Amino acid sequence: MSSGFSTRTLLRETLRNLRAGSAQAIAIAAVAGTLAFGLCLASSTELSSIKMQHDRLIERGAYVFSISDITGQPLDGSRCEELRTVPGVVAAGGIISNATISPTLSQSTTIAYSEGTPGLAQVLWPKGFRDSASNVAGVVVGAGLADRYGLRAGALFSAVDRSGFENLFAIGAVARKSERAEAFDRAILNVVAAESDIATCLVESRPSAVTALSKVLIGWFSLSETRATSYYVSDRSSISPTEQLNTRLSQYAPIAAGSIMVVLFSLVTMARRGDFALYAVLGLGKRGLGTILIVEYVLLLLIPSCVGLSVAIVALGSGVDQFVLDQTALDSLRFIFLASIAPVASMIAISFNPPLDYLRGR
Amino acid sequence: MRLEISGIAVRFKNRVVFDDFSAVFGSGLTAIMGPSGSGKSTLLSVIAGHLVPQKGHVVLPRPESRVDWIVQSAPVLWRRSALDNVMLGPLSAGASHHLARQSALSAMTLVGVDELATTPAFQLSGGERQRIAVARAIGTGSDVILADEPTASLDPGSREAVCDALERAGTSGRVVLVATHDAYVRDRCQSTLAIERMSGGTGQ
Repeated sequence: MSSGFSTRTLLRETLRNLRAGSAQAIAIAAVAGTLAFGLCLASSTELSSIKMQHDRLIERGAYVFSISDITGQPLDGSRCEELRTVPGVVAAGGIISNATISPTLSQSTTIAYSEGTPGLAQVLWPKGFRDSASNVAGVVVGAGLADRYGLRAGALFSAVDRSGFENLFAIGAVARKSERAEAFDRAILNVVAAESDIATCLVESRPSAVTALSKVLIGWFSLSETRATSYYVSDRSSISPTEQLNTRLSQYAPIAAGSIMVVLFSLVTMARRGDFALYAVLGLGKRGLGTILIVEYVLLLLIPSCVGLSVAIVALGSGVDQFVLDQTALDSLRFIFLASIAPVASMIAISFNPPLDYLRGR
Repeated sequence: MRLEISGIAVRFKNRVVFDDFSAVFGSGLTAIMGPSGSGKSTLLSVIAGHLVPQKGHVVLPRPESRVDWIVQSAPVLWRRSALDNVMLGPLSAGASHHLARQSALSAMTLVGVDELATTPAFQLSGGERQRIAVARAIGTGSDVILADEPTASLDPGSREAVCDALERAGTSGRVVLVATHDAYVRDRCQSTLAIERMSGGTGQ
């Protein structure tokens, strides 16, 4: 007995079958669309949280390293500033000295005072000076100190050092509030020439470049005993963002959602074994059955999933970071890839339970 | 119309079902009777092409003849109408949708189930499903219709209606083979082939 079911007839039959069982079809499509939508939301929520923590770590200076010579020899300040040209380095600046001073009007108060190269301002107050390259000059005061003493650019500030010598500072700039450390908001930085000798070089890198950068730093100052340590050790998270990304729960969501769809689709297919038995009696072969299953997969799983994913991504689009969006889209593609196993799994399930056996009561 | 079975042999593991079995069937209804396990369904499977005999062959009335198989469970697409279910036959034979609809309606009228055309299949009784299956076979234009226990578990009224439908298919020049245990069905057939378990030989 040969089958004359043309592809067009099979398509029409599949559509008519879906229309006849529209409640079931709509339910499956709704499950697929909702799963896809939920998958996107779950992924983007967890990824946004990780990204937020990551950004917070960066703001607090978790990727700032301190380079100094073990023997206490001074380093070349201009060499430290040059580190900014190394790929992966965000900012670099040298500390010449650290001390404390007291306002002349309130000598019981102590203020952190540093002398450093221009890049140091970019390391200490990234929001205020990140884009100003090497143009930072003069005396920079923290936002807290400026508020307390009413300091503005161009104002004068008088303070005495520990030896009682009075210094008059002409304020060059007021830094924006620093996320890195509260102490920086009450500090004064006296920016001096980049060519000065420095005691410590602070280097801020991109997180992804830490490993590569640590290799570059060795020998950068032509001193064999240079060491690089984390500057803000206490700000380091016990789990790095990379580890958090690798262990995030939502990465398993595509597997779970895809498996649900494969099992659901296979169960629905097996429940319709009687229908396929009739088609088999009429001569429909494996190829025809495959055509029906693929059309049903496209209409019931693929299109609703794509709609659900698209709606979620459009809804998230303006509100989330590009990285989060990319990762979420990747999770979505994984889900669609896994769900595409559904018609194959159904074919395998059917091959173990041939429709003609159904007619024989097996 | 003439269906010829020539010297077929069918064995399942250690069990011989047919050994050099031959038979010739003409147009009209033929009852195939025999005890359970005698090979009635196996014979229909061989004729339908679902089972290939180890030896021998089946000669259909015409090389392009279609064979339709009506099984006891009379499967239907439950959510589709009776007409849709009958149309599946002509559609499977490559007919266009329009032609399939015409053939199906004619076949349903011939079998006497035209009033059920718009009835959803899940509302049909067992007997009505069997008659729909007969209409589907007629609508397909099959030269050979095989019915495997078509009246099993049917009430007398439904049994008579199914036999009427098969009879109409037979009188329209088709070879209709009905595997049955039912004496009533046998009496409605023009000829009978009795098969014994582990049989060998010929029948006509």
